[in-house]
Amino acid sequence: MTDMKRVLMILLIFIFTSSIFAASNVQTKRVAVQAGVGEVLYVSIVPIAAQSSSFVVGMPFSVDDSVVKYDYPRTGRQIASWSLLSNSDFEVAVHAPVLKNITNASSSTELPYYLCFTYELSYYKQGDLIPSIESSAFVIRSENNNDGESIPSAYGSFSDKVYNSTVTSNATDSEYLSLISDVSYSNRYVGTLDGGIYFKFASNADTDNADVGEYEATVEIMVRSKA
Amino acid sequence: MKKRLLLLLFSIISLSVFAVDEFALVPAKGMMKTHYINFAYGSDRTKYKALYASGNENDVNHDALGGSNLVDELAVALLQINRGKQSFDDAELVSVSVTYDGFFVSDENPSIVRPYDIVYVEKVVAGGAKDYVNRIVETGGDFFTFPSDSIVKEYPNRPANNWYWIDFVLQLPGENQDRGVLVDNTYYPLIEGRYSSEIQIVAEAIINGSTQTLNITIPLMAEYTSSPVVFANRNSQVSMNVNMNANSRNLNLTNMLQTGNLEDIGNLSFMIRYASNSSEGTLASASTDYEHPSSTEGNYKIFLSSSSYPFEPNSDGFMFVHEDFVPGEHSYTNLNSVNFYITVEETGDSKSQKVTYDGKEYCDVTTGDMSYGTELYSNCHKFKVLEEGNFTHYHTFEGKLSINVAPDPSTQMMAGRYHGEIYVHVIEY
Repeated sequence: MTDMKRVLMILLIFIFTSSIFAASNVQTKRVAVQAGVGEVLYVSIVPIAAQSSSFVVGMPFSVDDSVVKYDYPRTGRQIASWSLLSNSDFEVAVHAPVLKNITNASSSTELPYYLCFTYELSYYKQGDLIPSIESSAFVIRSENNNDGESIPSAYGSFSDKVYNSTVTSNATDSEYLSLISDVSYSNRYVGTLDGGIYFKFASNADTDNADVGEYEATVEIMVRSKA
Repeated sequence: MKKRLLLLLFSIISLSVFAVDEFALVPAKGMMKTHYINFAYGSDRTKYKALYASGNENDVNHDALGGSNLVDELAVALLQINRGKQSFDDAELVSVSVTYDGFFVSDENPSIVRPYDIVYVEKVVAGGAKDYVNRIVETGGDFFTFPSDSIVKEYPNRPANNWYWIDFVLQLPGENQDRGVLVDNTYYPLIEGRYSSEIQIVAEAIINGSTQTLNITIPLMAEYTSSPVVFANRNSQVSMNVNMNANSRNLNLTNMLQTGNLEDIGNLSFMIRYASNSSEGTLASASTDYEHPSSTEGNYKIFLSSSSYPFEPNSDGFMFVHEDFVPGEHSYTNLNSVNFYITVEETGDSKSQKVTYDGKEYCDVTTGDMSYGTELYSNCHKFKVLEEGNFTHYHTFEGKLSINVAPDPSTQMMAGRYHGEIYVHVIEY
C-alpha cells in the first residue's frame, strides 16, 4: 500500500478565566472494539473539546493551567485520542511546530511543548495464536524553527515485540518514526485504540513570560506503508 | 460557607486469593477491610492503625514508626505468613515487593490525578510480642513517565520461626484546597467522581521447605465529592470497571465471519457497597453468601447495550462499521457493517451466569424493568466487612466479555478498519 493518510489536529489555546465544574456520570462506561477486513492502514486522531476550564481535558485551555505546566509531574492535559490499525509494515510521523501567538501580530512569543502519545498496542508474537499487549507511550517535542517544517524528536516507542521483528523505532534523526518493520501483508492486525494524546509545555520560563493572546499550532500525524 | 471535601477510599481484592492453602503465604483476612479517609477541612484525620487477624484494629505506637503520628494514612493490605498454624513451622520470608504508580487517576478524566505514597511497615510477631522493625516510604511520580515505583524488601537472613505481619499503608500527602490539593508545591485540581489506582504485591517465602509465591493485585477505588457525606449512613455505592484486552483492538473480522466463534475481549467487574450498623456481630462471622442485594441495599441493574442512554434503545444493536461510513449519507449494508454480540460470563463463582447481548437492550425509565434484554446479575457474592466501627455489605461480580458475529463465510465485506462501541450501564431504580 502506498497511500498516505493525513489527519490534522489543531490546537487552539485561549486565555480565559471561567470556572465551572462539569457533572460526571459514573454509571455508564463506554468501551470500543476495533477490527479489520483485508488490507488495512489506518490512523486517526479525535480532538477533545474542552468542557469547562476546570475539567482539565480537551482544547482550548489556559496556558496557566497547572496540568500543562512543565513541572507537573504527570503527562499533562489530554487533548485528543488516537487509534491505529494495520496489517502491513508501516511508519508513523508526527510534525509539531511551536505554538505561536495569533492575536498579537507583534508578539514574538513561541511556546514549545511536548506531546505524549499513550497506547496499548495489540500485536502478535511470532508463533502465537493470541495477541499480546504492550502499554507504553512515545513523546515528541515541538521544534523551535520558524518555517513550520519541524522534524520533532521522538523517544519511547513501540518496541521490538511487533511480529517478533527488529524495529527501528527511534526517530531522533529521521522524519518518520518507524513502528513496524520487516513484515509483509498479514491476516493478523496490529492495533491501538483510543490512546491518549497529552499536552504539556516544554519549560516553565516560556509560559511565565508569554504574551497574552491566543496561541495556535497545527500538528500532523501521518502513517505510510514502509517501502 | 466552606466547602467540605470528602474522599471515600475502599479496596477489594480478588476473592480467589482466599482459595489458597491455609499454610501458604496468604493475605490476611483483614485485607478485606474497607478504608475510608476524610478530606474535610478541619476534621480529624484518620490515623493508621494496625490490623490483626480478628479484623480488630489496634492502636499503633507511632513513635516507633518514625516519631510522629502518621495522619491520613491507612492500611490497604496485610501480608502474613504461616497463617493458620498453631505452632510456628519453619517459615522463611525471602522477599516482598510492592509496585504502584503513586497516583489515583480520575475514571472520567485521566489528566486528573491525586498523588499517594505507600509506607511499608513490617512486624515480626514472635511469642506474642509485636515488634515494628521497619518503615520505608517511597513516593511516586516522575516527569513524563509512567511510573512504576516499587518497594523491594529482601530478607537475606531469612528469619524463621516467626510470624510476619506486613502492612502497606497508603498515605495521602498534601494540603487540601478548594477543588484540589497542593503537594510539594504542585497544585492538583480535582473533579468530583471516582478515582482508581492499583497496587501489586509479590511476596516469596520458603515454608516447610518449599518456595511459595504470593501475587496480589489490589485495585483501589476512591471517590471525591464536594458535599458533606456522613459515611456510616451513606448507602449503596456502585463501582464498575471494564478492562478490554489485546484482542479488542485488532480483531480479524474475516475470521470471525468464517467461524462465528467467541473471542475473549476483556472483563467486567462491579461492586455494590452498602453501609449498615455495628450490631451485626463480629467480623469473624462475616457472611459469604450469594444473594441478590435486599431492597434496603439499593436496587441496581447492570446491563450492556449499544445505546449511550440506558432508557432508550438503539435498534441497530451492536455493529461493526467501516471507517468510511458516514451516518446520514450512507446506509448500512452487509458490505460496510455487521452486527456483533457480546457475551458476559461470570468467573470465579460457581453460581455463574451467562448473558448474551445484541445491543438493543434498554430499561424502562419509570419502573426500572428491562424493556428488552436481561440484567446482568441476580446472585452476587456477598460479604461484610468492618469499617469505622460499622459493618458494610459488599456484593461483587466478575465476568469475562466475549464477542462474536453470526457466521457467514460467504460475506465479502469491504476491506478496511471497522469500529464498534459498547456501553455498560448501571441504573438505580
